[in-house]
Amino acid sequence: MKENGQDISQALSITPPDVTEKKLKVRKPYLGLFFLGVFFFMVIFADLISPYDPFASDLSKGTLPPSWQEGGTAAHLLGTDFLGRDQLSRIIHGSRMSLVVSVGCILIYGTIGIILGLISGFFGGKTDMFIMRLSDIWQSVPGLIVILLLVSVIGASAKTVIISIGITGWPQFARVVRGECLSLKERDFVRLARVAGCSNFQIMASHIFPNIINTLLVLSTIQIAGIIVLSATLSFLGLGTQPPSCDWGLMLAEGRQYITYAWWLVTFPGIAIAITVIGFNLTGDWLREILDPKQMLR
Amino acid sequence: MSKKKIISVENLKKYFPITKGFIFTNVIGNVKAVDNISFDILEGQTLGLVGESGCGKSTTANVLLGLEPPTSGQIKFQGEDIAQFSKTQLFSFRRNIQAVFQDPFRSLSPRKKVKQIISEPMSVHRVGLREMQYERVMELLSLVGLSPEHAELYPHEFSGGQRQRIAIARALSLNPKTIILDEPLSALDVSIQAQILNLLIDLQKKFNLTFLIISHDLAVVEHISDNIGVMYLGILAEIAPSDKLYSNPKHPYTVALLESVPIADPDAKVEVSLEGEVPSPLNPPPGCRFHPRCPKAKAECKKTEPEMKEITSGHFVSCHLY
Repeated sequence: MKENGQDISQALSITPPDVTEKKLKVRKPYLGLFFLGVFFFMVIFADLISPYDPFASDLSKGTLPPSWQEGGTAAHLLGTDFLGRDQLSRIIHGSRMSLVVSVGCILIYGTIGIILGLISGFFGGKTDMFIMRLSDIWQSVPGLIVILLLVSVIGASAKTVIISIGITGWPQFARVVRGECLSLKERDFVRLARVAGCSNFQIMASHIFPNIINTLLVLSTIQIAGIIVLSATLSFLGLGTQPPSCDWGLMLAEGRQYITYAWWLVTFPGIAIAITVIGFNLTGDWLREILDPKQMLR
Repeated sequence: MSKKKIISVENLKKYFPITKGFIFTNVIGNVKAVDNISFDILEGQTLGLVGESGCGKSTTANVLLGLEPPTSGQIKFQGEDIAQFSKTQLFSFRRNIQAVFQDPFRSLSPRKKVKQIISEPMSVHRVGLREMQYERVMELLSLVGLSPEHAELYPHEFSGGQRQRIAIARALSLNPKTIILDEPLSALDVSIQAQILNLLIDLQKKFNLTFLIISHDLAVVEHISDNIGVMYLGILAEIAPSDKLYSNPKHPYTVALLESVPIADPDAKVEVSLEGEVPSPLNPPPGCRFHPRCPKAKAECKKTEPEMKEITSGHFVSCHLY
């Protein structure tokens, strides 16, 4: 029988469909993951790998250029700022601030967005309309103005940045969660859960929420990139973290005055921001590709 | 009749309003999905509901399951009206009525293990300790013909027939009196359909279950049902014990449906006995709803809506011909 089967398939020249070929089309995540790897390495081992205390100033060594430029020393690889603080150490420690701010924001607006989105999508009707119009209104007010207001009321600090970005960003989350929830709640397993006697809360928590985690993960990763830029912007404007703390946006702002003769003061923090943002974006795109069940079936 | 009624539906109506306007909404029409149907199901028996798609079969199931409130009419479960139930009564009512839906690929939560899916109704109703629930899951798995190691797998690792077995195990977990089966076989291969159908019949004998089975496949329904109801455009055209319905159909629609069952003979002539489309349930024709397509329609059929009449014992027809 087996030989027969082989004969027939040879005669008809049937070749098995190449499944692996299509799967390879998913983009390679290496560059994004590498950038993120560098970022998290800096976050975790900041105390071990930074050559100097990022706050120790030495005015006698102020504004030293990077080591490869004339006048630079091997002791300060990326040079020093106007107070003689080591640039490299400050960039390494600055990664922690970026992480704290972005994760804090995601937690705040993720929580608000998920709760409102679930309620909106699940109950529908008037509740849905109310929440969605609220989010329309929220989004129609420029975020920066809200943040400026909050900063002037509470006072500029990293905490203010987290809170203010956190409460301005929830509508995007709420909308995505609502959309997913709308399609999930009509699915048969949700109807069966109701037949089994599950309460609304049980259905939302154990049937709908687990099925939107993928989407939320992708959304968060991409949002983090935006938050890092926004928090750097706020620091640059003097509305975010205050000196002498290490923050990439703050370093940019401080270096701006010396840009004509000390290019390294703005360039390196800028590169650090760019690399981290690109890393998060690439990883987010990749996650979206591999976690989307439709993509997997393709 | 010694057996008692377990479910009795009286003059059930379910309309879906169509609204217009944004804040001040007006109802501009109703989709009459289910319009004035009545039937009883006796304990341990099976009622089959057949009809074309869109005739209100699944809406009837949803209303019976308490997923949607009826527009009017009563559903009595063991003599008690479920619309009058308080929240706690409704919760305990749910222990007695469970469901199996059509597509086993959509009716199992994709992110839960089989043991979680099967034991969920038990944990919601706080039946037994965790260990007892686990034992019950094992028992149910063997009842539906699956093996214990399947408990740790996720639904996507199963075939359609196996998934439907999981769905049945879940429906059985609380020892319900009634199970509503909404097209339980139509998503399955023909060879699997027979297996699942036999499984259902075995389970019914073993646990004295009452079934309401909804299908568009007359052959499936004939095999399992004691009584069969034929629905057309939201109304019940005919309801009769299955042997009577198949041997002696009365309503012209039932006759046409039975004629349209394919015969396993390539030379057999296919007679198209029904012409036209099903009218919109938004605006059903006046009089008898079937009259525009009925080969035996009289003048009376266009004016007055026929009443349900019992022509022989247990055989009800809603048609002016009788």
